Amino acid sequence: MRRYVEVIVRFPRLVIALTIVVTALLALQATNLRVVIDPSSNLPQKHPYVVTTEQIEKVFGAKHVIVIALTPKEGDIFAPPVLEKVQRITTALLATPGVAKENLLSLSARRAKNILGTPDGMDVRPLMETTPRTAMEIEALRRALRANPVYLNSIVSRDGRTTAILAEFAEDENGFRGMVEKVRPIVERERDSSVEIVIGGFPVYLAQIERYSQRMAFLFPLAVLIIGLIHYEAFRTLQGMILPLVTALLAVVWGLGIMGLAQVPMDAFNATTPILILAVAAGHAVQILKRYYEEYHRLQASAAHAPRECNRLAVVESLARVGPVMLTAGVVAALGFFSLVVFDIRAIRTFGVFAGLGVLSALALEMTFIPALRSLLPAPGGREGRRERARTVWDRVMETIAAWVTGPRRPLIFVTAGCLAVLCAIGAVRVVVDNSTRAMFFQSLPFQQDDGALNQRLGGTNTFFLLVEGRAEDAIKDPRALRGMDAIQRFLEREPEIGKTVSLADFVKRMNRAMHGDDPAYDRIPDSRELVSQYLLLYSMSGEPGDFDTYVDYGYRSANLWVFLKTDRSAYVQDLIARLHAFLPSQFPDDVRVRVGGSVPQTAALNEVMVHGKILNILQFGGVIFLISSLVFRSPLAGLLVLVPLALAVLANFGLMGLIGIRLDIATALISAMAVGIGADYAIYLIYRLREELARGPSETVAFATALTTAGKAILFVASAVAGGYGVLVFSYGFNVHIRFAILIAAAMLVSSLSALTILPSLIWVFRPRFVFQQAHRRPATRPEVVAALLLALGLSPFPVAAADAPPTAKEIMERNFVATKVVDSVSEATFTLINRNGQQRIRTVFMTTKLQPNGADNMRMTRFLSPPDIKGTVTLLIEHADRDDDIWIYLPALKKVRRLVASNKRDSFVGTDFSYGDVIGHKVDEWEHRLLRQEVLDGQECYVIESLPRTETVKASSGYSKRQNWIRKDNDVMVKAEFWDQAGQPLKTYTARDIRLVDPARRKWQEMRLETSNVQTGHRTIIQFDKFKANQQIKDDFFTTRYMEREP
Amino acid sequence: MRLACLASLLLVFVSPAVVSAQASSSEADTPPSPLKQLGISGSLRGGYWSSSRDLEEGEHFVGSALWLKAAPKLAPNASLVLEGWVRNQELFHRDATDGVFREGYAAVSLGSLDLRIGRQLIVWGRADRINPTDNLTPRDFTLLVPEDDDQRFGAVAAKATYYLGDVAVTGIWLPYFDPHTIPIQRVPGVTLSERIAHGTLGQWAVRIEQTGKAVDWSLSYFDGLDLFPDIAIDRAGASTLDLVLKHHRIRVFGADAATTVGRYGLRGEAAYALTEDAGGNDPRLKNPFFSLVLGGDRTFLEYLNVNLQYLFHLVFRHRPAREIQDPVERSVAIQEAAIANQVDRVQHGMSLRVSHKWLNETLEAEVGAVLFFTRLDFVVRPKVIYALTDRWKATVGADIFRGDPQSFLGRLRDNSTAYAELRWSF
Repeated sequence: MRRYVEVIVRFPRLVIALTIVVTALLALQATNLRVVIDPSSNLPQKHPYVVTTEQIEKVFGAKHVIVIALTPKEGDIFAPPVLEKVQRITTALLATPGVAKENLLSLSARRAKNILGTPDGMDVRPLMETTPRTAMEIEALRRALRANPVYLNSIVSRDGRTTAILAEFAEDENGFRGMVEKVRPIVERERDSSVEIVIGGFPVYLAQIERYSQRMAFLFPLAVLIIGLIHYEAFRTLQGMILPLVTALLAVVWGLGIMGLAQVPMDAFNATTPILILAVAAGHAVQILKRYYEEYHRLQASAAHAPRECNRLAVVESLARVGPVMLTAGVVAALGFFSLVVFDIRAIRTFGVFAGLGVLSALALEMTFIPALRSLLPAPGGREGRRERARTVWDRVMETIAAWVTGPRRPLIFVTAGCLAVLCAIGAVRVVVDNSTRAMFFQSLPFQQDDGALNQRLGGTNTFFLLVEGRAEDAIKDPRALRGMDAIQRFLEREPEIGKTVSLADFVKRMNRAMHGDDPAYDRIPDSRELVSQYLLLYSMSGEPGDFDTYVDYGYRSANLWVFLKTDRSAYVQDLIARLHAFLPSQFPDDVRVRVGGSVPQTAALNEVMVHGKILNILQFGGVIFLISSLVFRSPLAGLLVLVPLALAVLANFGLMGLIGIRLDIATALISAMAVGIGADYAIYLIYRLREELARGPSETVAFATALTTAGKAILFVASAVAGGYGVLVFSYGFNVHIRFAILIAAAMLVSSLSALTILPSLIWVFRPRFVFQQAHRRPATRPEVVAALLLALGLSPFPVAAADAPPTAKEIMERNFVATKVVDSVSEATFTLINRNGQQRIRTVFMTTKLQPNGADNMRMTRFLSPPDIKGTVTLLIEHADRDDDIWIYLPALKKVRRLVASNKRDSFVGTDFSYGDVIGHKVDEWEHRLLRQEVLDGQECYVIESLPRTETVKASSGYSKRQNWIRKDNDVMVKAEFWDQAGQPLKTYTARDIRLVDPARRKWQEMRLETSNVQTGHRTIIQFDKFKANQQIKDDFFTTRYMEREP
Repeated sequence: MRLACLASLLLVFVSPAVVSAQASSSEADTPPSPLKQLGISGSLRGGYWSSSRDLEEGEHFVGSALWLKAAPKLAPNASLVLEGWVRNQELFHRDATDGVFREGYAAVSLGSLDLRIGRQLIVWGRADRINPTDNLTPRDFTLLVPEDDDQRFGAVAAKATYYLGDVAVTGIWLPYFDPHTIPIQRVPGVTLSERIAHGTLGQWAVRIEQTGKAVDWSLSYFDGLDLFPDIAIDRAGASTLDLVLKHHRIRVFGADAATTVGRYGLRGEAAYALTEDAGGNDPRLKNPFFSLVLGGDRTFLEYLNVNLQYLFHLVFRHRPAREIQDPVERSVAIQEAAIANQVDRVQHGMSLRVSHKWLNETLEAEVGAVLFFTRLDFVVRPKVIYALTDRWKATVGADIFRGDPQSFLGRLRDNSTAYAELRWSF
């Protein structure tokens, strides 16, 4: 591995150029990616319901039906203006490309027939040949509808207040939105204050899924931003923020490109998968980068190499050490994802392929492009290194975890985990498997309201079909078959969620009654096959050949029974189908078979596959991970240990779903696989690092602490970034799919990372597996060793600790200097002159007041800007706190209000000058090691020259200085000159003070009236000239409140 | 006429000099210059705007403005503040000149009591730029200025604040009413007038506030006229339609808080507004609503400030305007809902502001954005400010509104503009 990396860093430009070429080629391939929007292709193709549905759609049509319903604001639909609208909409739909004209059903469609018995036979006429205008014509229409109840609740509501138009659409090149957009202008033309028109049906929902999925166009960049910010929070460096994102974004492009190249189609359910790839890829990148910084600081501390060489060596060293771990973890995750290709559901197969390719792409990039790029970038500067090593809340969390894992509180980890596992198990058994397209959206959305209205007024917008098949042609003309269909209809119509059923039996019954003078006693299926055949012949004489196309096939061998439901909940339909299967056998002759199909049973099929598939999916994924981990670590126990955090994450995922009532559906089914895929890395990285530290370290305690505060910390970064990245989906208002993703992924990341950081190391500590503890017994570490290890692990260079104690006299001098200018209170006016390297000046005048707080060290400072004009009236109030962050408020005159600000770092610029906040407030004596270098005369005054070094890395980081050299006047202890070095050890600033006056003779307090600081790196300098300065003005504490900030001076 | 406006503005600024000079001469060590004595400051501004902000079709405005402020100190505990501007929004058009007397008030401190009387700006709210509790003094949203806060102007008010340590109790009485000026689309054949109530209006507000502890917070109540208008039909003829803007009474209960946690600043602000249409039955009036802003900011790399806020707006007893049967009433109600941000019952959104400073704080860039998720309407506002010298400052920026034309921000699409301004301050 080391030799390989050395080759990469020897030809970095070539590697980068090749990466750019490959990325460009794959990006071109990504443009060929085929996006599949047909939801049926995501169904389990071998499931009987799906097979039946396909057959029904092929023979009877009825695939994508859009329902348009008109409800007049007053009265019923039997009014010429309403019926004219129906006529116009029907005509317009018939002229619309993509509409199946023969299957269009409405009051004015030719397919909607009035069947009448006449002395000569049977008269079959359209219900509404022309729009009825007179009262007589309208009454005739009412009569026709009463006589043909088959249309009630399908195209006319029972109360006569709503009429519907059912239009079937062929596949549209613009997806479901294309279908809906064809209907919308037709409807909008007819919309006015007299009638309410709503559009519904399954295609409307699918169009909404397409629309909401497109939100990824802005959610993805937002996720990138959030992940970037979390990385920045973790590393505190721009490279730490940008490099993992570069890997991740390129990995997404590569993944999409390879899919395009391999002609694997993409679908709407995988719209969020790029975030997964982004997260996994960034996770690996963070581990490598974290290790890179560790190695760089170690090499730099050894002082054996120049920074550039340190950089190159650190790239080689970090990849040589972490590369094999990354490859292992990455391959485990990729194989896990690839194993999903055995699934019967295309969305899950696509997810597996896409995610696996993304992970492999990330590995390839981390092994080539990133080390090449990193070796070309400049070595981390002092500031960058200091930021990266600064001790943050992440370190404190990891230190606490390390203390718990290796200390007496370890049993508490097991007890807490056990309790949570029991809670999750209780939740998990309560998980409901239920797919509902409607449940993907907020109920309050307008199209949901429209759908609710449609379902309330008519039979229902969800369809479910029963395919009745005989063995021979004309089998459906058998009265026993027709009676069976009629019996099923009566059985189904008792269900509250079923609003309507329609079959050929309805028409045959109507024909029988019509042929018997409309006698209700004949509203039944005739007894003989011959009579049925004759009726159908009579019908065909005045009806049209295609009238029954959606109910029976051409040879009368199979019939389609339509069931309209008011719900699309698959759990309900599964239960209904089970009851139907119990009812069916007694209703039909033996040679007739009944099968179930339609959009809702298909989602029920999805349910069945999902329950089975979900378990298979998790077991399969777990099996792959167990196998590879066992092989890599050469221990089955290792495989089991790697599975522990993943198993807990899966349990938490199900537990949370059960506890907060999230259903297991096609979208949430993917989450466990994602959690396992992402979380697999955590355990592997941690175990590798533990082994490395145990092999190297002096004690087990130190090894655990180091592993947790390095690799463990990176795990925490990654999990936070993933949770944050997916967290942006919570902003997808209205779309439950995204919001549930956000909640569940965040929870899964929390559990898998925390269990990898607590339970896994605790188990290893307790069971002491051989594959981790390769070497024999070690002595427990002493407390100082643990502290030293933590310091090392946090990147704190040991050299300040190793520095010799400062001579007491130097410290005393600095202590005297610290208080020499600390007056009880002061009022002053000063001019700040800022001069850039070209000599251009900017001048600010300020009015300042200070007052020492009772602790004698912290000041309260109010600074009011008097000029320049654009910032005149701006006031800042700073209340210093030795033990915590300072409080700062600002009053901006344009804003007219006081605003609280976050405390600045001590190293940050004081109001844009070259002085830092630390310079103004004063550097605390105890935080520095002081050494008297010499005594010399400066400007005619005898001075001590004292070198001050930060005692800790934290002080170094917060002050921004690696060294200060101070010239302190012997007579008054005032600093008259100082030089500062930045964290990289380079000269940074020089400071001089002139015109030193005794401002409080009683307490012997002095004030420098002219201060100048020059930044030798930028050429910028600042002069502060005090025009007035008065000490001991008896300023009240009240003055240092926000009240006084708003006052005009 | 316009010259008279400018002259009177200058007169107002010069006249306090006499009073001020007498009052402050005794306390100074050395006599201050007359300019300093008067506390006069101001700026001359010239700018170009690619579009107006009033939804008119006008384009390419080159304008100039003079802003003046005087703040003479009358006594150690008393001061006077006067501020106003005159401007010409379209150079070489006489009728495009106007002026505003933004503030003119006297402030007195009597022990723990601060009093302010006169035309004054009262700005409430601790959230970043989106302040549901800020309902007291108006803004001219159509004014072409790069800084939002320059759109504010004062209202005549008497304000008293009593301090009890860190806690301050403020009472405000507003005898007159000045409304917001908001952009409204003009339609041919439709007239639009505004009806403003006069006389004793009995507008008042009270606020209790604490600052200086770990958390700054306040609770407030305002009872007065709504600065935002409600649109209603005044008269509908066969071919004409007269619309009227009216301001109805609202009662706003508000709360806000701000604190810091480590390097993060956290802010929150909420307001519940009870309108005259408590039952939600009248589409010509706003329904009661609740607004919430929660967010925080953090500064990275010394100057890179990122401010992110979540926005929530809930309208009580909401009835969609599209359900109104009468087409004319419906279209007016839709416009009323869009202006009042009441198109939807629930609105979720976010605001993001990212700013950075370079070159010792002389170059500043900022991008602000607000996005509502329900209708995906948004505004993006990039801006770059460069201080050429202490007195000369150049600003370049843009406002980009997009979204559903019936949404709160989407309806302002025609107000999208790019601008550049050069300012000389003195």
